[in-house]
Amino acid sequence: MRTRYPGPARRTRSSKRNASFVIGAVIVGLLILTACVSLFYTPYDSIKMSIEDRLQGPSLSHLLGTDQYGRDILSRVMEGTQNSVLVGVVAVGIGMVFGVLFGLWAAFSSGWSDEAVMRAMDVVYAFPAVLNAILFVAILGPGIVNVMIAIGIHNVPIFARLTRGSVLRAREEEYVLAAYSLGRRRWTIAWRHILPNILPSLIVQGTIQFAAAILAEAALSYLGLGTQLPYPSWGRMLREAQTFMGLAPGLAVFPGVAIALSVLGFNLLGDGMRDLLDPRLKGTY
Amino acid sequence: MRITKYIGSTLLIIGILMGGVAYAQTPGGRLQVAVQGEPLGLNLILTPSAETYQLLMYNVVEPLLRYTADGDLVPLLAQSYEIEETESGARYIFYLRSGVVFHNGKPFTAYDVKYTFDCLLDPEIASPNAAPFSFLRDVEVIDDLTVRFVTEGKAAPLLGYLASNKGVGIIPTGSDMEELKAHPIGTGPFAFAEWVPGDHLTLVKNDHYWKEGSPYLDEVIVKFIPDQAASFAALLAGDVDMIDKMVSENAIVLESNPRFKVIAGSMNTPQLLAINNARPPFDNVLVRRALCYAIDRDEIIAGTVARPEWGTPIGSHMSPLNPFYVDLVGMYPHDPEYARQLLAQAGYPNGFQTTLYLPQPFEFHIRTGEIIADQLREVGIDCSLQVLEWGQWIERVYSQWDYDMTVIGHDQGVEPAVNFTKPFERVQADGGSGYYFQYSNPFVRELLARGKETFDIAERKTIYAMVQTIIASDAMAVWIQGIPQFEGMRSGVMGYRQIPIYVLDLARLYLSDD
Repeated sequence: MRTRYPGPARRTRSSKRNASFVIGAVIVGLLILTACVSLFYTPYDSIKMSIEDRLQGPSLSHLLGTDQYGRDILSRVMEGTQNSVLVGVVAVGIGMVFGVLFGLWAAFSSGWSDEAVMRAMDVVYAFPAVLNAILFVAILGPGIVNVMIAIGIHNVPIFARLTRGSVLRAREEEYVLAAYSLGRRRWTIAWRHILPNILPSLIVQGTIQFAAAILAEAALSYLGLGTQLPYPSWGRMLREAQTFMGLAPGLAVFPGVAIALSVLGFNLLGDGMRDLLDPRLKGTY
Repeated sequence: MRITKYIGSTLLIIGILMGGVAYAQTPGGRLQVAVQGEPLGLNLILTPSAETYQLLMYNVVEPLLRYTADGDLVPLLAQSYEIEETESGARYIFYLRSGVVFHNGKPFTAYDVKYTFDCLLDPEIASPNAAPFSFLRDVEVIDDLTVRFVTEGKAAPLLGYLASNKGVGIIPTGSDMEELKAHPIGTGPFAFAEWVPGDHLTLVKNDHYWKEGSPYLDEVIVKFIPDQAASFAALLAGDVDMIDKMVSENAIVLESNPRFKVIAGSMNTPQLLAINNARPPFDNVLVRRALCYAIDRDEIIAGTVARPEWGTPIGSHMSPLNPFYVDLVGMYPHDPEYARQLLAQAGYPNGFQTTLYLPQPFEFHIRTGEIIADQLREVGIDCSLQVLEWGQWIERVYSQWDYDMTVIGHDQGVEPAVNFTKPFERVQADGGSGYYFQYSNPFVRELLARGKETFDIAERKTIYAMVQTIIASDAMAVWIQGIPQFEGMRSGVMGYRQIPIYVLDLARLYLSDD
């Protein structure tokens, strides 16, 4: 039994949802814009050193100051955005494509192959994200491409479980039964009828995994396994800044803020989208 | 009443002042020191670990001779020595100190010296530290306090080896090699108390130490803190009294705090851009010289050491601390234009692509490598960077010689022969070098052989100066700087001095009340 409350409370609730969606969308939009702009323009070459200008505070010529080699921090933070966005896209893409395929396969082939696929997913999922990524990077070798693959592999079981669960639920719904009775094949039903219906939850999960991927990339680059020298990555910048905390705290602050903001942005966006898209929440609070 | 009080306090003040004078070096107290690396085992005959050596040498085990902070070779367990030259080689006779006892109460005699070297050179024990003593033929006991080393050839570096090599600290006759791994025994100023792996190692004062009044401290606790930021925080919080080897940026922060002090010095460790001399295009001397001209040492020092005056540029395979060092920095002034011309002459007018391997976790070398890559890009060499874990670095670069270039430091002794033997004397069957530099020069090998047969210091200096000049003009590597070393400590920790070998000399330390 659901109790419905009068209108105004619901409106406040939904405008709150919209607020988190809007803020999230603005932050993510800025992030993607920065990444695009940095492809063509950064104030300085992000890897060019200028030792005599090292460890300067923010000024008009260097808005966020310079690092231990006199490189412009603003340019490096900007170029780091490319890195984070790219890792997010590829890692979530890998996770979504393979996860959905495995999830559909498991849901439609009950019995031992369902068990085998899902238990294999459980094994991958049992490891914490960063540990998992370290494991795969140790096998594949360090570098940004391998980091994308490693984080992507960790995302596979997340999407597989979500897909399988949603499909199992949807399989019993009338529209699916109707499609069956019209003589549609299993994969056609899965592709044409079920997938579009579970897409919103996949998109929401994708946004949340995007934030997780940015964090994981930062953690791996911090450990020296991600982006290789001398190219900028927020995690790597944090690691390098650690040595200079006493002398130039700004070195750690700016990449740290960038990581925090983008993770916040994607999480807000995901939250807002869940509330907007999830049919189960429609009309509830 | 009032007068008595007055007199009393005056006497007290005089007493304190006199006490201060009489006990300028206050005995007693406990020192806690943080080090980055932990020993792999505590038997210096069995382990190549620099961390073990750093803590035990001179502190727990003592050799026959030692180096002072000024780099002088002085007697320790030996009181004096004589050298007799023979037709086939030389005899070194050592007259040992009497009245010395081991930490287990046994008296120290010539038999212990023989036992130590028998163990070190025993093929079954297969010590990794035996190789430099290949010229040693026999150690003979003449009487309880006299021992004779017989060598093939004159073995001029022997005295230096006996003061600073791993495995030369004297252990008691009959010691079990396995037991020493966990419980070292020697004659040193401190006795081993306990080792909690991953946490700390405790040394306690040797009450029966042969040198009157030494050591000052009652107890030393060595804490293993691998993370620089954590050990720095521990020092600021008072959890440790001293940090061994900190980064220059932390040194600057500490200097401005009156409760602490920093002792800045230099490690006996030249830092270099090592080049695979056998791999094209680096087999061409013009290319190697181009690298030398392309690299600006002053800029590297400015970018790696917080204050330029703390760094020392070097131009040969030694640190300026070494009395045999010659200053060849001027041989290749920074000249990118000339570097480009040399590359063109060598057939690379547009430069080439190469990889620079950098060893993790050595932040100092990684930072140096980043700057070098930037400088090489200036002359058209596209230098990509690859960071390798220490184990991988040892495997790939040091053991398999599968690399183009790398940045690393070489821990060295004062005796030049020990620094040059491995890099320049190891030869493979085909005449190529057996070391990761892949530099093979028969003339250098001949000079080094002569160095081992020469006692005269001036003549030896000439020989090793020639070696340094030849390898520098061949541009075997690009030598960068003598690595600076910073010790941070509470202002009440007194008596610390760096010595030119990789040892933390604890016997001189004392605590004065803040």
